[in-house]
Amino acid sequence: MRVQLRAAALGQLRGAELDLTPGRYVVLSSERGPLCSLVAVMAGREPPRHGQVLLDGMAPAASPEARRKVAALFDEEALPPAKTVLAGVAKALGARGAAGNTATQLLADADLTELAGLAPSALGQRETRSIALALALAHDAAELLVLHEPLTTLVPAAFVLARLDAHTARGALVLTTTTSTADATVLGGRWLCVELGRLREGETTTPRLGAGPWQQVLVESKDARALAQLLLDSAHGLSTELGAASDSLKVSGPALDVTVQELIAVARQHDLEIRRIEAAVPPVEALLAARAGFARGAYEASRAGFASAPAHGPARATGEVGTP
Amino acid sequence: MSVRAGIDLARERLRQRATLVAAGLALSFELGVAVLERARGALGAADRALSGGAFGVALPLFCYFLVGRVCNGASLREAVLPLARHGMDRRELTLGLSLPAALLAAGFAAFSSLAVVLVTRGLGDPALAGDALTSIWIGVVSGPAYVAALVGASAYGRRGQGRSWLVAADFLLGAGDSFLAFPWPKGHVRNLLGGTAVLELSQLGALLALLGTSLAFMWLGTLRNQR
Repeated sequence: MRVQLRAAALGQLRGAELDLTPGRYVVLSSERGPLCSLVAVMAGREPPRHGQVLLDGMAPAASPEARRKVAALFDEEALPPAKTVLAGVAKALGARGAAGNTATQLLADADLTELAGLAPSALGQRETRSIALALALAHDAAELLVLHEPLTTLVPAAFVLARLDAHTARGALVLTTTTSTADATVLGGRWLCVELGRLREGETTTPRLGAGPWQQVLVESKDARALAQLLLDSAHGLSTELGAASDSLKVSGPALDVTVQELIAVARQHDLEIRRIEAAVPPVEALLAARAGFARGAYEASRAGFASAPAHGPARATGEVGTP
Repeated sequence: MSVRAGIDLARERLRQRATLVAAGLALSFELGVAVLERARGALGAADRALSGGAFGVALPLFCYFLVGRVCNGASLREAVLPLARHGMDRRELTLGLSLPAALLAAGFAAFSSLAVVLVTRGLGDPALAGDALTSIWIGVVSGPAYVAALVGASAYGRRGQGRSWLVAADFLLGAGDSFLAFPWPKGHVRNLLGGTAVLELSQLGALLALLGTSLAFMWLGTLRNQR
């Protein structure tokens, strides 16, 4: 399957430009909103507000044929209404054209047998997502698996990863989304990062958000020197600088996400320990929060000063400030 | 296949105690209005009770409740998602989703209007049979018409608020008889019951307008919802 997104936008997803072929991908973002929107448009839950989403040339939101090839896990899930979870799963399988009597086995495989007899309305969102994930992972005819946070359900992570490996091996396009870098590393595949609501797939890594200290990462590792040597051979053109302390290292790259991904990959590959990774320049959000905290602190300090001052002096000024 | 799945989806969602409670409340309201109208004066009591309490208030609100239930309180797109995501056609699912609600609305409207006529006319009234038959067929038509319009309207708004807008517009604009009242069911139902005609339409014209506008709402909804 070929998945094409052309300036696709929905909600907090401000624009996605992708052209994906079968393989394993993981989309990472610090915000949940763009990821939920990405899964929604790719699975045909909603059409994009702007732009296009095409699965083999068909829009999934308008084409049942395209949706038949998709297995999805959304942020918020709902099962087909039924008396029991088992009956709901059987209905979902029936809608897919699969035999409903495999529902019991499907739940057993995902270690969810204890939920089978419950009413779907009695399930919490985590349980419902677990059932939906089991359904998605069991869709052997799916050519696209698009799963939001697949490691945060009740389904054992080992089972999820094994099924994802199997789907990838049979030639499906497996795309997972997560806000956790740890989960992204475990899920594996090519990383795609959402920045400010925009998702763009690039063959080559290019500097983003300006070069210089913005793209530097501070690393703390007892193997700093070895790590620096290994990173010099990186395909992404990373440069390293050992710090004053023997365990500190400064790494510069084309983009923070690429640098961190490469760092983790190299460390894993050579079994090196990384104690801490942080951006050399704090993100804008952190600066804004710090500025807000400073302003608040200054304001409270000034109020405290006024309150403790004599009544005829600054205290009167406080009253004047407070008067609209 | 998808139509049958849609019917099944709606049946499961309507199979709740809340549906019975809503029907009971609506029927009690209609009968209460009928008793009050009868106490006010036997002359014209059936007309006032039918066009006021029964078809004017209780039926639109009951249909609103039914459509809200079959849509699971969400938009039409989300209502059919549990099956549409697996490759079922949304338009066929929508048709299937509407059928049980439309049948229930028709049955309720027919039964409740018959009860209202019985209360307001009394068993000995010679006009009872004629009024009962007339109100039954108007109920059988107007219930599904409201359901069709509300299902279509549910495709609008993030959480299907379109159906609330439709009910509000039906109450506010449908109460008149100008062209502003034309798209909404209330004015045409009132015409069928012998009340003021919207745009001076005949009763046949009102029937066609009622069915036409309701189906147009549904068609617009399915068009927006895509396949």
